[in-house]
Amino acid sequence: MYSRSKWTAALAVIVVLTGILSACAPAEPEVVEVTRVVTEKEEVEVTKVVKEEVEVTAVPEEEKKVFRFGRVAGAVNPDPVFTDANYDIWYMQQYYSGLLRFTKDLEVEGDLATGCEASEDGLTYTCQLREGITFSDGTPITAEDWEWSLNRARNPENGIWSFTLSAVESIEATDETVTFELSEPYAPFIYSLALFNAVVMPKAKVEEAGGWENFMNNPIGAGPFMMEEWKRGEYMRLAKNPNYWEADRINIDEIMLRNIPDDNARILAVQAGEVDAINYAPFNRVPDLQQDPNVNVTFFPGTAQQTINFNHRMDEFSDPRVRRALCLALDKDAFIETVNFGVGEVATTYLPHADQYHDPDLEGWPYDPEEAKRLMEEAGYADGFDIAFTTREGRQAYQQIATLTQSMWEPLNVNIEIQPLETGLYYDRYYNNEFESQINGWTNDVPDPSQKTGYYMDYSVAECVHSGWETPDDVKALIDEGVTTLDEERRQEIYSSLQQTYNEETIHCPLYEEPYLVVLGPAVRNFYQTPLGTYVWRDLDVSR
Amino acid sequence: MKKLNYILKRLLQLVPVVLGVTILLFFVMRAIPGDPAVIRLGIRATEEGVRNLRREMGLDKPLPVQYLIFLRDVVTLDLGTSIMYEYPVKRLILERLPKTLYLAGYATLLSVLITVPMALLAAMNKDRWPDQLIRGGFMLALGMPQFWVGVILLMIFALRIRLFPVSGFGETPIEHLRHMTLPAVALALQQSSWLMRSLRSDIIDVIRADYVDFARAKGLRERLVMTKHILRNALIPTVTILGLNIGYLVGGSIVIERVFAIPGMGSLLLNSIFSRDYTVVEGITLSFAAMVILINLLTDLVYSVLDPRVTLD
Repeated sequence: MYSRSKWTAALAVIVVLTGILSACAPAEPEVVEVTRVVTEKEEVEVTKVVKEEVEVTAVPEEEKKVFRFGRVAGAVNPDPVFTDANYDIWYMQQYYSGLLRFTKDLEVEGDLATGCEASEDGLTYTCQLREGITFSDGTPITAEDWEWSLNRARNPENGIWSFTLSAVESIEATDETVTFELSEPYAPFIYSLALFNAVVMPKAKVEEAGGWENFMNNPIGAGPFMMEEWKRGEYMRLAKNPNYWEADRINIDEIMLRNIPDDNARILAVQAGEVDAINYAPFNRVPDLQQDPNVNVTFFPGTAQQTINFNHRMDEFSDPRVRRALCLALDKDAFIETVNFGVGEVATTYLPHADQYHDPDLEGWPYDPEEAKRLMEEAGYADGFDIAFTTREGRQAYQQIATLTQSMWEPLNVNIEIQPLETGLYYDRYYNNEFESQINGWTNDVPDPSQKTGYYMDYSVAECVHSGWETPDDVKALIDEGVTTLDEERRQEIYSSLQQTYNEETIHCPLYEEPYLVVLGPAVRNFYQTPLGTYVWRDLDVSR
Repeated sequence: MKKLNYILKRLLQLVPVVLGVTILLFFVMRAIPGDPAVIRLGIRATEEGVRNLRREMGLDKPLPVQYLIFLRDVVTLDLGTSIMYEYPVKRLILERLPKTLYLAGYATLLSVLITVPMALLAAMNKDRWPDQLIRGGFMLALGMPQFWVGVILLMIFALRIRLFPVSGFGETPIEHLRHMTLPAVALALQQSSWLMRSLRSDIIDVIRADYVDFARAKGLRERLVMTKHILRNALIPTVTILGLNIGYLVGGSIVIERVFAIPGMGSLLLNSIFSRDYTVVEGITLSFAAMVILINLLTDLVYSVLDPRVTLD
């Protein structure tokens, strides 16, 4: 016979098993103990967080203005010098500040310095510091902090952004000024001083923490906001920096940056009012989002460009006529219509329309299948060839671009095999030059054409985004002159000439440019994103 | 004493399994093409940039040295530092694990609560309309992809009728319960379809058993026959399935976590694989392996309680 107590014990084991596994609060009384332990732990955590908030901001909970942002991916490495992802770069200047900063229209204005003056020969820059500037924890910013931070930023061993300060020979700071001596003129230098990597960091605090790795758990900067809490891969919470020199201007008490990687989940979150704004909504959702009275679909002009990349090491792609023919055969308006639901602009060269040196006279590669056919015959490829085309898996837009390309190259007898690759594999093939043709996206990080020109046309930087186009000496000389000359007219000449060369050679095939798409809830005011993608939230406000 | 010995023996078995898993994991992960530094830099990858970043990530050390570091981290239960976040793997996992376990546990509980009465009802009415209806319904649930069910649930119960939140895990216990309900239902629907099929057929088998007839013949009340004789015996195979399915549930939650933006283990694992964050993938996989072994052990222990004929040897 089975006894009642044994039966109860069996049930209890099952329930405890689920209880332990779940650490949750199921309805069964048997797991009350498990529940209580966990609940208490959580309560402790919750009260701790609340206490911290009160201490730091001293704003009563109900009056606190919170801006909640749903982003596609979160911070990875918010070290201003070693950073590399847009998820960090675009947000970084909310919590760090340097001498200068960008306005929403990419004008340069004073931040911790009132301004910077260049000498006549362009070799000395002197920046006048504001009085009484401090880090977010109230400690004064010293001359040593400036020298240490900026020297770290220009050290070529430290990350991929040191090129922005590579012309600097020495940096000298006092309590009133920061002075830069350059070895040769560097045209975009004033932009370099407003970039995310040229920010001031507290030397003593980094050393106290025992290095960057630990400092990043609780970084201190001098930006309009300060990092309060960072749960990797989950969220980042920023609070208003009461010690920012312009603290009176900041309306928001707290910014909550939530990671919501799934497109649908992100859109639902803003529609349901759980976040105030989201980025990276897919363009195919624009029509129905525009019907929703609870959200505003907003576009900010951007520098994002989608481009088809050829591997010039292959015989077929070593002939510029073939590359031109393939680019002429693509109806770029159809791409914008199909992939982006009409949002975007046909690219006419590698510098986007939003770039100040973009040459408006270039017509690019207007859709011309007849001319494409003629060029292919001329190059000896009337019968076409077979080629692999790699795209990134899970990127619907890339898949669509590949399919359209396939159908538009078919009349030229160029048959492409579409290879969707997982992101890691895709970049592995790219970096090791093991692709035949592929699709690439680029967004400018600097408001100056020199960075993209280096990557796209200078073999010595990254093999012309690994296409393998060999930069002729005269072109290389022009690229170098573009960086060092300070004469505006001459720079325009140089970059026009480089764009012409790029187009004649069809180094790659630029398809279209697209704006940044942000979906805002009804409460948001003064949300700005620059053409570089960086967010400018100094005037941001929410009114509920 | 016998039980304790058995448990100790089973726990000792963990050691070679974990060691095997570490070797396999370490070298398979590194054999996969794709370099964390190249992925991080993407289109901006330059030779110098990749070299500097690899040094920063500690990937410039020889492989055997890296393996020994990894092994040391496993033995000391430290699990090392995430390549991507430069943050302790253990803390990353501990921040995420409760959410995934909460979800898996909630879903398991819901599926048991759904399955047991439904299976009884279906088995008691074998081949009559309640049986057909229940079986058809669960068949339908089985055929629907989880992410789709998730999105539909969101559209109806979060956006149209604002009964549940759209995403996240919440901060207080009550919020957790509200946030996890829709994802748990989405997971439980599929889970209970599996359980349902097994439990229903087991009940049908047991109903025909001689001891059930005997129990009825000696005049036991139907309720007692049902709980003590039928359900208890029919539950044994279902417990196995339930145990096995918990591992599957944790895997299945990867998709659901994405749909509901729950920052759990699934999303952490997925991102870490994509970015080749070796140490995190290794840490998570090891913890999963240990968990599966422990669940199997618990399942065996539950057996011995449910069925006195099962001995722990």
